Amino acid sequence: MDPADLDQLLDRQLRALPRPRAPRTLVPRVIAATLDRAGDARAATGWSTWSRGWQLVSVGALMALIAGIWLLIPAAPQEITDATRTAAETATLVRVFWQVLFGPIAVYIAILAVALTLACAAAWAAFEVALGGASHR
Amino acid sequence: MTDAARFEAFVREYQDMVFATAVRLLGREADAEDVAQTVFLRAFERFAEIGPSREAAGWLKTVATNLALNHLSRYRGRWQLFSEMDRDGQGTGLADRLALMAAAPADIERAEQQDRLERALRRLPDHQRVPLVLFHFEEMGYQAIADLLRVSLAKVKSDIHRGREALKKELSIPHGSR
Repeated sequence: MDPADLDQLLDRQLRALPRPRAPRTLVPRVIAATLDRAGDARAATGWSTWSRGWQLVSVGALMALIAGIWLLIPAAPQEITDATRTAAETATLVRVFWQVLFGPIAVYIAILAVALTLACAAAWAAFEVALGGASHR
Repeated sequence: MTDAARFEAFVREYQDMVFATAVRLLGREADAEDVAQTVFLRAFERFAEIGPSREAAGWLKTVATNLALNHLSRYRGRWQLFSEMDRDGQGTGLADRLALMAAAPADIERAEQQDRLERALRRLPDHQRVPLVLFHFEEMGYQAIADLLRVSLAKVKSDIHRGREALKKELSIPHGSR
């Protein structure tokens, strides 16, 4: 066949190609996926999913609560103020302890823990392979 | 009609168009079905806006094209081996084969030739099939294709030319010799 004729034939054939049909499974898949998504949306109840109005109300309520506590502290009984002071001192002590002793080596401890975990896992896997091999024999 | 029923009717109306766009770009039905599902999920998220719009078909086609191209660039390397393995298994489904059996001989021959061409199109390497499909089926110009695929105009022209040459070889093979 002449190359030009073949070109025209190809154009005609491409134009005449029937559109591939979607498989019958597509619609049920899409519907199931949308139902899943709708379920996820209903299940999402975090603060970020609240409406703007409720977010503002909740922020206002939180600020009112903090202000109330702040105002009540001077009028609180002696035991409460003592306990608060002790808690603050303990927190400071823990922070200093962490910064001086554990802070600098925390990364190394974490690396060591991960390495030990991996080594244990590898040893266990090797042990299982060895046992499995032995039982096959 | 409820929203769910309206959305289902919307999917049924456009499913062939979306799937056809995806399957011709991707060359694999399983990938095309995944992409089509994602397209409709995007439409579901904006259904209040897209559902009644006259541009719904255009929007769906654009999203299907973009997602199919993303899919090719992201996953195709990993799936190349499998796609090479099962490409020959694709083509006419059982329903199409039964319809063929009931058709007249001339219709059968035409349908078989179309099937051969469709399979040859899907067998083309991605870099030839994608611009060729965009050119012939999505009616995009060379420059638009080059911009979309971020390649040179010369490469688009040469890839389309090579793809057409491969398809022409398929057409010139006499019926029954494969």
